[in-house]
Amino acid sequence: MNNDERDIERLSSAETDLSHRLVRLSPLIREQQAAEMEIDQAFYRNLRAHLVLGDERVPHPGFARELRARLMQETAARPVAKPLRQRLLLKIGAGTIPLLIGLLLTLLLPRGSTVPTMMAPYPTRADLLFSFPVPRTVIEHVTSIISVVHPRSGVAYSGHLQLTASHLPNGPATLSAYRLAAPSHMVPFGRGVLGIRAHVRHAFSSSQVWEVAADGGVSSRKPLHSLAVSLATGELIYHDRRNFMLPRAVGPLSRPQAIAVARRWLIELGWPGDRMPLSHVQSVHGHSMVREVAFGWMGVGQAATAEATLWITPDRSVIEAWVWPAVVKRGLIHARSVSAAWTDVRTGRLPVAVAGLPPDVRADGVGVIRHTNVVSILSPGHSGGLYLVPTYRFEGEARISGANLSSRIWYSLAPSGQQ
Amino acid sequence: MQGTGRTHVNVEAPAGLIDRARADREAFGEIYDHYLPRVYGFCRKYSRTREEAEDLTAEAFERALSGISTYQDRKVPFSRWLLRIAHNVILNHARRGNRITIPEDDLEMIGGDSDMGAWEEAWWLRLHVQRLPDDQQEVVRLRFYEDQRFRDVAARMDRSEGAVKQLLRRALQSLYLQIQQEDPALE
Repeated sequence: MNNDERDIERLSSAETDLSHRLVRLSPLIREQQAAEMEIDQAFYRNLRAHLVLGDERVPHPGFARELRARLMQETAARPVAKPLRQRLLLKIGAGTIPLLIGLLLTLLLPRGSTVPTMMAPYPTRADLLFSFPVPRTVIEHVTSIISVVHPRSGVAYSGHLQLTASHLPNGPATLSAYRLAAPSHMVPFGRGVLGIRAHVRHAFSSSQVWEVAADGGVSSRKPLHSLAVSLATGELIYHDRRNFMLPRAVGPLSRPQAIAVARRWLIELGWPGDRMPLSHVQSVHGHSMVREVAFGWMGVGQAATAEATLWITPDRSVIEAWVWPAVVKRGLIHARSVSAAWTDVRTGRLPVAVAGLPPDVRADGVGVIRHTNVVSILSPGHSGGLYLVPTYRFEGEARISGANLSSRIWYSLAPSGQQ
Repeated sequence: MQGTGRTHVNVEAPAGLIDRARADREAFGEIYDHYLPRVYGFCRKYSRTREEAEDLTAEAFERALSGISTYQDRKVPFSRWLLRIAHNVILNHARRGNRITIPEDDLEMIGGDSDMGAWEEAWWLRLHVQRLPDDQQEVVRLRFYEDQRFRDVAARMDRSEGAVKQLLRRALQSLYLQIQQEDPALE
């Protein structure tokens, strides 16, 4: 310390002593400041999740780093096997990509515990439309960051529907909301498992940055074999078009076979594929040989978007996958009344969709409610992070002027939390 | 602690939180939030790399989680208990041959009570400085943390040397009064 403290006049002895204390401790204070600025936020979050959720659900962050390095065939920075890592490594079979990588496992609350309230986001119109069924879309050029499973958001009906409800149920006082794992949890995994010769780059869509790995690189002429993860939401899009034409296929996989293939693929990727609830199995529109198998989030109930949707060919190849992060936290939100939500729908403040009509139809019609239930939809948080938030889903029948006289199904999603 | 209504410097987590953390992992998560910078910084002091510090920090918190039921608050402050765990982790790491930035002769000295005491004292003093008005914080930072001469501090703050000395004097007086209000026994 340069020695001109004497230039500060009229300090008391206590203040002088304090000054000496600052001199003595300043090197430590500098170290503390530097260390605090250095703390990696992913490390902070990962270790917190590891401590709070338990090491069987979330691996030790150092273990995750080493395993990532092995998956990416990089040299680990410091190949020291700590006791904790050794225990974790022993639990993993030689050929098993670990469920322990499941930073993606759903939080299971212990019995008897109280569920805290959660500051979940209030879904926007864009969130609601994202959760509407997607109209048939022609994709002229499939890229790594466009999911053919969900190439675009749903579309609101352009015409006016006069909607009525003879009866609305009483809603609950609280509803569950869920926070999903951060995108950083999704990014490292999968490339080694899926055998993609990584040429990692960043791709940009209108609103997101993606980390993309693709066989042969960006300008390869090979059939698309790629994995893209959104750095904003953790959304994962997988394409494998190497085997898409299926010249010798005679029929799609059976339902049980398709489900088994899908579960195994998810397990290899690091998801709890054996425990995720089955959402649906159906043929892909326009590709009768291809099975679409979808799974929901464990413990979430009905959601407008599946946690994982896979397309599977007769030769048991997964050619498309659209996967979201797992739930890491559940909380409660205060619910508004069903009638208040219905008022928003009835008065046109919220979008309504009508099944089976081209999106440019603008004719008016009338509809009645037949069914009301709670459906979770994806909604980004204000300070980052992705949530599943509850909405009231109203569904009913409608007659549209000018269309043929058969009834149409209409539906709407209304935020069920208080704004 | 008795005070003048000003916010107490939050060196330790609330006692209630520590009690809850004995049985509630979510509460331990809040403990972690409160103490991570302090523990990480302590481990980083004895690490070559950030990754090394992360591993030491992770092991320290894991041990704390498994041993929190044994913590008795009448004996040592919780922060000191945590740092002692970190100290043991660092020593064990070094003894296993994973050398970190400690000369052989100093091996037994690292993270000892005097080291931990100084680390804690620095943390406590830093928190007090952070409660000063912005200009007083700045002059303390430049003069003490960055060890700058008065004329350089004056240039950085766009003031005369005399004004800087006056400001520093006020900062030290404010700091002293603040500490006295927190704990009159501290001198």
